[in-house]
Amino acid sequence: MKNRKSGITVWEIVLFTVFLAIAGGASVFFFFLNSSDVQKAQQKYAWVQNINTVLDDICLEIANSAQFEHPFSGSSRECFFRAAVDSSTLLPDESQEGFAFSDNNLVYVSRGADSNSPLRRLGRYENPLVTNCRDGKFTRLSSDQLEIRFHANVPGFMQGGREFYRLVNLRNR
Amino acid sequence: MSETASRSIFEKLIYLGIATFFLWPFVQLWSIKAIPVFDTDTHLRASVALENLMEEAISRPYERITSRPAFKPVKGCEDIGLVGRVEVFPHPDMPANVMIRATVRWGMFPLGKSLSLEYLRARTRP
Repeated sequence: MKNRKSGITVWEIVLFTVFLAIAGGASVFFFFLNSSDVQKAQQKYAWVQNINTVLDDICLEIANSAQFEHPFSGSSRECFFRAAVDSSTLLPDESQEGFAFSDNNLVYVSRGADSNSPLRRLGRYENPLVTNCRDGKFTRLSSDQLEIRFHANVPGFMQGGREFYRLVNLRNR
Repeated sequence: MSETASRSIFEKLIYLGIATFFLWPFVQLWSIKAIPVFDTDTHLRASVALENLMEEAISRPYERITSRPAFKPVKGCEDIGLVGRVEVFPHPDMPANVMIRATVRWGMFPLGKSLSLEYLRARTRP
């Protein structure tokens, strides 16, 4: 009978080397995943996604407004409109809601005949909606099209920023 | 050991170890929500560009487009090679309505990705 336990064979060496290579590569990859570069990239992605979610709701609010008032033509740092309400009735003319770029923030404001209160909530978002942004403006491109454009800086000690740009089709002009 | 005997506990443990060894990276990636093939910054930018394309398309009046338009580069997203197109065609079932379909595409052929958005609107404005 042939002795089968005569020692390590070639395919065992090959298998061991392959497993060792995979383990080494995987450990290097996991150290990379734990690194601060990846953590910064994830934080920046979450920041961009958060601003985009806020912008989605802002665009929905503007697009569904009953009547769009303020940047009649040209560009402005703020916009005002008569909001659509659930009962499908029109609110009085002097109560308007809007968004404004003020003090490097994007805030939700409402103005009425007697007051101009900046402390209102847009859905689940607290004021200010977007912080640390500059060069923000609302541009009325045509009678039924509005452009929102601003540049936001990354919060914290990270470098750089991002340009955000949205087109809104005003459904009701 | 003969060929017909079942696997021993030791061999089963070895199989379990090998399976865990191969599956554990995917478990870790799932737990930190960082599987890069699904959701990246490029993907986010493309979806925003797609929304802008669609909003621009529905703010224009209805125009009859006979041929299928070609993909054009999207302004501001040239660095990721994003191209987009807007198709406007009558709805096959409801002739009073038109369908608007915006599509953006990026990446090379075998690994390319595309996103599309459709909108149904009346041919005459209310």
